[in-house]
Amino acid sequence: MNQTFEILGFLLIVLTLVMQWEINVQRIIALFSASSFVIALFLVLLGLSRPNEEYMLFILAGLTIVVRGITIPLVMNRALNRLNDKPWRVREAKPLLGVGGSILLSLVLIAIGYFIYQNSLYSVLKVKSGSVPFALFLQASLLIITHRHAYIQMIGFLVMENAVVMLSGWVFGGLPFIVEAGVILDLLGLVVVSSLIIRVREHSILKVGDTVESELRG
Amino acid sequence: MLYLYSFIEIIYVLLAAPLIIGVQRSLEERIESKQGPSVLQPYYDLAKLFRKESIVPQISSPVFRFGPYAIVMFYAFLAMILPVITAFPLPFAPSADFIGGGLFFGAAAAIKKFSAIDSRSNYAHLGTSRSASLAVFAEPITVLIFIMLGVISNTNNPFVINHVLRSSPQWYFSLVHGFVLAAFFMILIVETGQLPVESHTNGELGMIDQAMPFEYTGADLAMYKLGSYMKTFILLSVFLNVYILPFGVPMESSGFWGIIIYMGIHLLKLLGLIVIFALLNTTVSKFRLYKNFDYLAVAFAFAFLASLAYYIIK
Repeated sequence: MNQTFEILGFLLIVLTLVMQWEINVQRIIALFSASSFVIALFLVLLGLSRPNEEYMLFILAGLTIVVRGITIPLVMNRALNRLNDKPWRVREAKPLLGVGGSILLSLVLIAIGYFIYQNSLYSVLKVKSGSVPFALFLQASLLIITHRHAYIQMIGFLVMENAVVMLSGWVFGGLPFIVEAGVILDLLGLVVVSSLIIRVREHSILKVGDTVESELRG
Repeated sequence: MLYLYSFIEIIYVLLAAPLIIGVQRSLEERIESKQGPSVLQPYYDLAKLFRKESIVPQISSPVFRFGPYAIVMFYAFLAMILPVITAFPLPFAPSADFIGGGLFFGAAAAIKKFSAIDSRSNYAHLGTSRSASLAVFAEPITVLIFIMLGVISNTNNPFVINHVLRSSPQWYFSLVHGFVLAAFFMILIVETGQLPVESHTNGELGMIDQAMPFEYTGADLAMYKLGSYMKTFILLSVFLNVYILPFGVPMESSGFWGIIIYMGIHLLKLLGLIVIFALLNTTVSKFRLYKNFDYLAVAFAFAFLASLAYYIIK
C-alpha cells in the first residue's frame, strides 16, 4: 500500500510540474481538478488501510471530489467565462521565469523539501516518503511566486492546501474529522470570495483604465 | 559458437535497420490516408546511392570522406556489445559497459559533426550547431538515466540490468523505473529525430539532422544514412531489451534456434514502438527550435525525479 501512496504522491508532483509548464489558465484549472481527484483516491486508499476511521476518510474523499474536484474548478471556469469573451485564450502573458528555468527551480525545491524533511521531521515521524507533501508545498509556493495571473496564484494556493491535506492524512494520521471537513468547505467560501474580488477588480480596472492598474501593481 | 552469434547480430542489425525505418515511413503516410512508399524504399535508396559516384567538396579534408565509414564501423561495434538479440554477453561485450557504450555513441556523434563541419557548407554548420546544442543537454540526461539503472542493479553492465529488471518485479514496477522509462523515451525521441523535436523535412527554421549531410552524395551518403538507421535500430533495441520489455530475450541455454526465433519477436517489439512513433509523428506538431530546450528540461525532471524517488523510497 505504501508504494501506491508514493506513486500517487509523485503523480501529484508531476501534475504540479506540468502546471508550472502550462500557461493556459483553463488547462491549469483542469490540472488542479485532476490533482484533487488524485487526492481523493489517496484518501480512499488511506481509508482502506485504516479500518478504524474508514468512513470518515471516505466522506472526506467524497467532499474532496465534490468541492475541490468539481465545484471549485466549475466556479473558477464560470468566473473566467463571465470576465472574458474568449476564456480559452486566457493565459499567463509574461511568466517571470521561462519554462526550463521554472522546472529546474521546481526540482531544486523538491530536493530542498526532501532534505528539510529528512533532517527535521523524519527522526520523529519515521515515515519514509513524508517529504513528498513538503515538496508539493514548496512547488505550489513557486507556482504562486512565478505567476502574475490571479487565477493561477489562487490555484497555487489550492495546491498548497492539497499538500496540507496529504501531509495531515499520510504523516500525522487522522486529524479530527470536523477540522478536515471544515478546511475543505472553507476553501469553497475562499474561492467564491476570491472570484468576487477578482471580478470586482477587473471591472473597476476596465472602468477606470490602465493607469490605475499599473499603480496597483506597484 | 559465440563468435557466430556476434556475426549474426551484426548482419541482423545491418539488414533489419533500414526495414524499420521503411515501415515507419510507410505507416506515417498510411495514417495520413496516402499510399506511401514501399516498406523496402530505404533499401532501394541505399542500393541506388551505392551505385552512384561520390562528389567531394574541393576544400574538405579526408575527415569528410571517411566520417560516414567510421560511423558505420562504430555502430557495428555497438551492435556487438549491447543486448540486441541475446541477454548474455557475446565475446566483444566486456570491452565496454553501459557508460562505455554511451561514450561510443557520443564518439560516433562527434565524428558525424566533424565530418559535417568539414564540408564547409553553411547548412551543415547550422545543423551541426543545433545538434550540438541539443546534445549538450541530452547527454547528461542519458548519463543520469544510466547511473540510475546502475544504482538499481549495482553494475553498469546492460546484460545484468536486463536480468535484474526481468527477475525482480519490485524494481520493474517501481517508481524509479517508471521515471527512468519516461526520461529515456523522451531522450529516444531526441536521439532518433522524431516529432515534436525534429521533423523529416528540409525546412530551414527547424531542421537539425537533415542539414548535416547536405554535401554528401553517392556511396558516402549511403553509408551516412546506413549509420543513422543503425543508430535508431540499436537505441530502440536497447530501450526495448533493457528498459521496457526485458522479458524473453534469449539466454545462452536457448540455443541457436531460440536466438533465430527471438529475432522475429524482436522485430515485432520494434514494430510496436514504431507504431507509437508513427502516431506521434502524425499527430504532434513540431516545437519551435528554442522550445526543444524546455522539452529537455522536462526529460531532465523525470531523470532527476527517478534519483529522488530512489532515495525517498529506499
